[in-house]
Amino acid sequence: MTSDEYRHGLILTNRFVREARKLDKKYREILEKRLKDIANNPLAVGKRLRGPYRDKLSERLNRRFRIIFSIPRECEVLIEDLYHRDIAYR
Amino acid sequence: MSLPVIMLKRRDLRAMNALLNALDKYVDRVVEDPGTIRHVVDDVLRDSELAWLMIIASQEILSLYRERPGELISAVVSDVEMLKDRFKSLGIDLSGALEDFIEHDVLKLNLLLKKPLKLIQIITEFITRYTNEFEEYIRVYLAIVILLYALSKTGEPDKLRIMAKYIKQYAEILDSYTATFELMSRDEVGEAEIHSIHRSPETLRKVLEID
Repeated sequence: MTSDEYRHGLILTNRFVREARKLDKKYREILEKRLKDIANNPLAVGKRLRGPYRDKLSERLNRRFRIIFSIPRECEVLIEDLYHRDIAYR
Repeated sequence: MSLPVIMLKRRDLRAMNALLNALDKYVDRVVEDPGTIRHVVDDVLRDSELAWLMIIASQEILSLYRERPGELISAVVSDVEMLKDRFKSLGIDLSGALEDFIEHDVLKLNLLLKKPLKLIQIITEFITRYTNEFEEYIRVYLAIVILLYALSKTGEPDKLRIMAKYIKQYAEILDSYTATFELMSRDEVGEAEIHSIHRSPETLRKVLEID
């Protein structure tokens, strides 16, 4: 493993990539850093959800967005979704 | 239960005012000693009169929201801004915790208004299949409500700091429920199709269209 390599492989879903590409470049750069944190230490970064989604974790991106991810297998993180937290204020 | 109680004491909200009056004796205990919050929540949960008042007050808030959604949201947001400023002047940052709480409440209000059956479905699923977590949720939510009310009744910086610390802890837990409710409220299940796999920044930056 080189120094740049992530500890966990990041698997991105179509939905996540679609939403991520809608962000301004400034947020995409912050997102990249946040994904690196998740890839290197997912359990420390994420907050575990409850009930039927207890296998998923949530992490905020700059307070405005929420990233939803899970750890389907050892050494892999599935980045499932990204949405604006203001979704609740509509 | 959906009670944006930050919006305190309004003359036209009779049930809400009755609820706040009934909560007074519990809140006063927390004002006296913020460390009692867990025991106070236990006692609140045993108070059946209070439970009825919460249901009626929730209905009242819902009616107001249905008639004047903008007014309710602006009132809550403006109260939150006031609270944030008050704490900032004491060197305490409660912004994130207050935003978490408001996000949670507004999500529930929107569900009650636009997809009431979905909210009932979510709550029923928690009660029947995830009972312990539902109990945790109720305790966390009540603790925040009581602590927020208690904040308005004291000016002692030390007590405010302790209460703020508890609110932050509870808001962290509440945020997990907000994200869970949000996912459960969606009509469509997220697309699980895999787009790509990345083991280093180079390919990730390309996919995110940074480079």
